[in-house]
Amino acid sequence: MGIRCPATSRAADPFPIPFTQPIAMWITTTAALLLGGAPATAPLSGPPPSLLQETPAAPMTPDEAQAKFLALEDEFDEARQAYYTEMRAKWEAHSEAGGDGSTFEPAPPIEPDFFPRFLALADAGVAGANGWVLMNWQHSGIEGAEAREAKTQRLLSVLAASPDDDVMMGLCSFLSNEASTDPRQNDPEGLIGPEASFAFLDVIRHAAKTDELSAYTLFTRGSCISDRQYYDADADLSAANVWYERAANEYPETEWGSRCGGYVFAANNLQIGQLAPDIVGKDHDGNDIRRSDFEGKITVLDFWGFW
Amino acid sequence: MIPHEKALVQRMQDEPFVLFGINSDDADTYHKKRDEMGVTWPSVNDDSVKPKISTSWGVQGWPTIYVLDHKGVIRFKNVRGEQMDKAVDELLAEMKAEAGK
Repeated sequence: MGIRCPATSRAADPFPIPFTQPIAMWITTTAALLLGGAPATAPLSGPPPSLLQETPAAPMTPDEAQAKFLALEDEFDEARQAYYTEMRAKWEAHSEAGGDGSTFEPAPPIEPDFFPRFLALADAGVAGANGWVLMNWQHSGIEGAEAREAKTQRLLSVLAASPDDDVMMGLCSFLSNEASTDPRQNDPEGLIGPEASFAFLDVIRHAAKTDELSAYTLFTRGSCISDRQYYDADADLSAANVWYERAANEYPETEWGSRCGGYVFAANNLQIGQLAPDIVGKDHDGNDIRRSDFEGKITVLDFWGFW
Repeated sequence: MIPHEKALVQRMQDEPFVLFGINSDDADTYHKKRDEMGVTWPSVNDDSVKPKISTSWGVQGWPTIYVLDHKGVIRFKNVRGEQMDKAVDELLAEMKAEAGK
């Protein structure tokens, strides 16, 4: 894909972003670096300050650090799976014995044990590890304005390393949380905030190497609005569709573009009081089957699975 | 979920009612478990359709449920369990009252 001019695209954004000055400068510099193809080793203001007391002993080559990160990630995924399996079993035993949610005590989370290990690799320059640290920030012990600044610096250093889509997509999820105005957030002061988070999402979209990632940033932008329904019953969610429509129209060939197309379709055609569109598929024996085959009957449409 | 759907289908077997399933498992799981679990109602395996119906319909979570009246109009969304039964009963009563006029 071609890189579109940020200025032009931003003008077309339905929600122009009123930058605060320091953020605007960061964004512009980062965007320039990214758009110009920054070398992977060009953090803007030196590596982010480590939260560790001790510095890692032996210097690692980037390849070694990356390999260590992948192994650590596997170890973490396995531990997390084991944790959930254990908690499910504990919960089942608990509810069989007549207990409910108010008396259930889950085991302490596993993330705090992993945090310093991911942090060491993040500080050694592994973008994926930095992404992990950002997404698990609540275990850092750092809150408030200090947290906001530390997160922003780490984010910039990951962006400057121009990592793969999966890391970038993780950053999008991270940013959607940072943009949240949910009053129930643990540390609202420590959040990067909607304005800067949306600007970062723009940066990621303009620097994206694949359409899939570009589509995902637009989806994320819309989901930041849709997510308000979980903490604000009166929130106007219709603005989300502007973003979903853009994702669907600009990146129709991508998975996230077609998902967003579905959200728009649902908003326009699947509301209470509307005539349900037809559904055509294959039945168990491979024959065509349609919803309209059952016209005249009360119909429950059930999107389901065996899980 | 499935036991409840089975009960509903059974209770409605002599009524103008259909439960139309859009199953989101991969094709193999679907074909294997469908027989095992005794799914008798008409179902489409989403894996057989491109793009998936769940994608075109913007489904974001499972189960997602729409209840349509006999004219095909969407009347309820995401009703589950007893609420789903109630919705169906209500529409059935409405349909019969209309026919009786």
